[in-house]
Amino acid sequence: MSEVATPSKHAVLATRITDACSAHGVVGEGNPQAIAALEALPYPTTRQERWKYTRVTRLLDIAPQATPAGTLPEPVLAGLDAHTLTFVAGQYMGDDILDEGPEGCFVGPRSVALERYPQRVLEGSTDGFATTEWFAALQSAAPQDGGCVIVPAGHRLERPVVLRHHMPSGIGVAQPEHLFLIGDGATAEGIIWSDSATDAAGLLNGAITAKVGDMADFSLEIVQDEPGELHHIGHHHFTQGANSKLTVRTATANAHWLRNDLHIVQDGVHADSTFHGCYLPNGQQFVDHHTRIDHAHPDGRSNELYKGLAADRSTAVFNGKIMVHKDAQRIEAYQSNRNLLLGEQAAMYAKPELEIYADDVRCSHGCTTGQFDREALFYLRSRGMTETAAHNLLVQAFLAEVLDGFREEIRDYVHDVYARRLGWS
Amino acid sequence: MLKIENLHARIGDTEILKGLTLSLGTGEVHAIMGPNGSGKSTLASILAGREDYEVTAGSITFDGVDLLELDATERAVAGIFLAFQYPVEIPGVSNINFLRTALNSIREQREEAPISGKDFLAKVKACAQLVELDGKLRDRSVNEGFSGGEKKRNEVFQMAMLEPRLAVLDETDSGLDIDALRIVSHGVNSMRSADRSFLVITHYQRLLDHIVPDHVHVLAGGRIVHSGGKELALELEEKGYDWIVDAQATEQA
Amino acid sequence: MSAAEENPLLDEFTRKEYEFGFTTDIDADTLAPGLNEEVIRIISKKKNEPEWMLNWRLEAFSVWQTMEEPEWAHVQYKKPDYQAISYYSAPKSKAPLGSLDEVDPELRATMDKLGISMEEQKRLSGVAVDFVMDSVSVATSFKDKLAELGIIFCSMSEAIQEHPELVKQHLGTVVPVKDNFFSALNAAVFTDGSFCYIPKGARCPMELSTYFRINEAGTGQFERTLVVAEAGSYVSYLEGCTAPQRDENQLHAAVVELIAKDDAEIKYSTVQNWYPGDAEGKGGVFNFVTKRGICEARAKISWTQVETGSAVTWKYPSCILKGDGSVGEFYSVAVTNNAQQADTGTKMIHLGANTHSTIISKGISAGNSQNSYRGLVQIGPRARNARNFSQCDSLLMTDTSGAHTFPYIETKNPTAHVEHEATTSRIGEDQIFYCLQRGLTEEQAIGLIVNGYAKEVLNKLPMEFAVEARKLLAISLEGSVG
Repeated sequence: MSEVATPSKHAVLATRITDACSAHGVVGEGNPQAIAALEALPYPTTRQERWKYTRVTRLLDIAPQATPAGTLPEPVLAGLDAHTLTFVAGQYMGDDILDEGPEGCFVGPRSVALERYPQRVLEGSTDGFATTEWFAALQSAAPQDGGCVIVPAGHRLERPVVLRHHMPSGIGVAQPEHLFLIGDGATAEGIIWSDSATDAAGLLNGAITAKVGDMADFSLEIVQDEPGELHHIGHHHFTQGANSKLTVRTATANAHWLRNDLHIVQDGVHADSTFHGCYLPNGQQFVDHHTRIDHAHPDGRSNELYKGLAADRSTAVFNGKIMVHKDAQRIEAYQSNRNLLLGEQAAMYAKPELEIYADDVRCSHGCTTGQFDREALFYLRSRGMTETAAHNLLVQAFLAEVLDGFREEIRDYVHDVYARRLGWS
Repeated sequence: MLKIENLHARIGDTEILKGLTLSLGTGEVHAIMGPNGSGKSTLASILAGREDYEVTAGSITFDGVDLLELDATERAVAGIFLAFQYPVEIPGVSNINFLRTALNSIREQREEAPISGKDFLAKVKACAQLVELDGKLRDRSVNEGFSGGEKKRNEVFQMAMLEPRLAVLDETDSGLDIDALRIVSHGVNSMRSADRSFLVITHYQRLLDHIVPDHVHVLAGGRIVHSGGKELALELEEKGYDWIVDAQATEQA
Repeated sequence: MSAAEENPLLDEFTRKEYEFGFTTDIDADTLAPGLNEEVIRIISKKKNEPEWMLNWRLEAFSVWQTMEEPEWAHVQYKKPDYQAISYYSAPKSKAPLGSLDEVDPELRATMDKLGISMEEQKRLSGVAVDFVMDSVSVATSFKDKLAELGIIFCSMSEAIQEHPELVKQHLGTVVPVKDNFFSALNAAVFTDGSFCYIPKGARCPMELSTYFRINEAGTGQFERTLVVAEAGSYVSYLEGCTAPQRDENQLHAAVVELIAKDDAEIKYSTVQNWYPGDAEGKGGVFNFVTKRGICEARAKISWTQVETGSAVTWKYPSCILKGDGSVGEFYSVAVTNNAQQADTGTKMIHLGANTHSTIISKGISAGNSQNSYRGLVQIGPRARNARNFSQCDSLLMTDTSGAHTFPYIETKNPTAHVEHEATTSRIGEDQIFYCLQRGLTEEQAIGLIVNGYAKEVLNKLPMEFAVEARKLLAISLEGSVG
């Protein structure tokens, strides 16, 4: 044998990130499968299909500095009547915990849930992407705190839950993990609010996992509002049971460099999934939404709509895969991806995929990339609008189809962020 | 010509026909009326040979031949035509090409020579006139983008082209306005002849004002519960079905 | 009814079995299996090639040795043993063929069976045919008539001898040697193919046609086709493919290069009916083909393909829309049945301004087959006002087959407009029943429905081919509804 091999750059990164997270406190043991996968999996390159348009080479250089003791950021969604849990850089900042005992609902940090109800938490845990994706494995090898929402069978969570995660100033690293366990016939609404200081940088490598039971109804709104130079990788994994209803809306309000992996598995008949998203990179931003839905059982339905625009020199990526498994008959799956390209040097990469192994299905996807409808633009200008005003109006109209699905407070907030960033009036 | 005896049929676990008996002579027009869900469309589908239905008892003979032994194509070749309640759209296949293929397929199976292009076109012209079918509709894809009325007219147009011995009209009046109803009925009436029979299935009496039947039957609960002459239709229009259905129930009890 | 529809020769295609599974008993000059520099030198020498050609091949071979067989397509197969293939098989003929009459009678009979008897072809449709069997071009018809217009239509070997400058100038300019594993292999070992040159402003008065056939057992076929259309010219080119039934897989790795200069138009149509293997997936042709065209200003290249054969298909006829205002089109019907696998589609590379492309792809999956559309639409930063429309439909006949769509849409110019739509549906039981009720047999019904579904593409084929293709579609799908 030769002498000790120099560890690869990504192994060094993994150690650096894991150490940094451990220093600030991980929750529970790292997932052993993830730790093994982290060593076995290759680091993503553009030669891999799933990373074809997404370069992660420069993430290798991220060197987190000691995160300053977190101070509570300004509250968000102040007017909303909700259970709010706040996390800063993967640490729980102490707010209201709802605990109705072993048979009831629980809303609190994962760290507390693991102490009080280890069994309930473990039963609901899944590996998600942790054994197949390098960054997910990294997250799962050193998971930090995040929200844990448990709604037992037949229960209804009256107030929405806001899980807010904040990245403070400086080059930081955080690997928060949020968990939703929605029992059979249960109903809940969640909001995951991920934001950062304006001078935050480093890596946010977070996971959201939800298990939605038979007949359950769960809706989740995800807001990503991260000015600064943060690299954000999100692993969003959902499994839903028979006759359940799942709605996931993702608004990328502001992101320097973002990759979301959203995966929904319909693990029962007659499941219904809706997942919408919007994005609007400008400057030199990079936003990548990868989505996948698995129709593994008959009679499921899914509706996917992602809309966005790329301005200036930014890049947007959309990849949507509809997978219809053998014997998953009578599926109706619709996917739509609409993009506007506004910058001379902006780029849009779209890959809407269908993979179908059953025959009695209705699946379709549509994907367009283009610019404003000239007719509409002309119409607005002929009514006295300036070109900029007309543009803005059309962008708002374009995004409305997705944004209007969010609750009012979020819709208005995201709209304002977009307006500020693109200089709308 | 057509003899149905004690027909029992089901789809899945649901029994729909429960001992239906009916006999139809050559050249006769019979109407079958009945409340929704009584099995009218099931009867039409079974006559045409749709495989979703399982015949569990009884028999159907057509000109002495056991119809249940024939598949859908063979029945069409034997001269049975079903005017569909919901005609199917076949994108990319022109109406005219569809009909020529059908006509020649039937002729081939009857060991007849294919129809010449000239004769075919002449026939198309004549039949289209019969139901006032627009030339454009003949060239469009089968039923694609047709209105409800156009679809039904197209069914009767096809019937005229294929010249069946027994035509089964399944709710051909549904979704028709009064003008279309008149056109469709005119098409059917002009095809009435001594060697062609019709089985007209309808929920409403109004069609029978235009296509006057020789016999009217009431189908309820999967059986023929009452038969009469054309005046029965008017009676049904006036009094509804309940009196017959109830009388039948009392009788059975 | 058209004359072509009544053409008894085309009735060959209505037979139920794979009708072309005969082998021709012709004395063939076949090289022992294996691939090394020596083999390439022998091929080059047998063909009496100039040195530049040999060097080109040798360079390709050394590149190929450094490359790996691609694995990204949605197909699974046992990779061929490239040392077990014979890279040269030519029907033995004593002297160069002067006229059709000198063609081996056995070979003539083969052509007749294929329904492309040259005499018949000449009489019926005025199609000029180049017939490539295994690797060598056997005969080209109508050459003299074309020569009057300055059109060159001959075998690639002949072109290398007779028109070396034209070949040298264009060969490998659209599909470079290093492009991919199979194109490199082809460049090293190709033995023949067709060459077509349309001079400036000429309009080729007839369809040019090539029939490819793999005959010898254990041989690969590596033909190379080059079509050069000078400024303002027009040509329509047809390509048909068949192979005998054999238990082992046969490799076909062709390269087709199209060059359409300013204002030129090339229509390239393919009916591919290589042996697909038996119902269990034994045997069949591996069809790993690189086809690409380049359009200069306002030029147009239109690919139309009907793919029913081959065990595995890996094929993406593409257009590089280099010149401003150039147009690319891709119309495809791909049928897979039994154990067939197809991964096919196109690439439309928009480089110039005001470039337009259209993609219509109709996949039909039956049996246990897997049918994938894979396409790339790329709008470069300089491609102002580029337009693309893509429609990719899949029709599923059984619940054991698969239909997949993998489109890549890359847009780097804000004035571009790109639209992609895809649908997947099942052949409707109610549609079939409706047809049966009107007296059609089930096979007729399926044929009719499938042809209706694929109509947009079939309409793009030249008349003679369209009839053939329609019949082929129906045959490929007989008894396949689940």
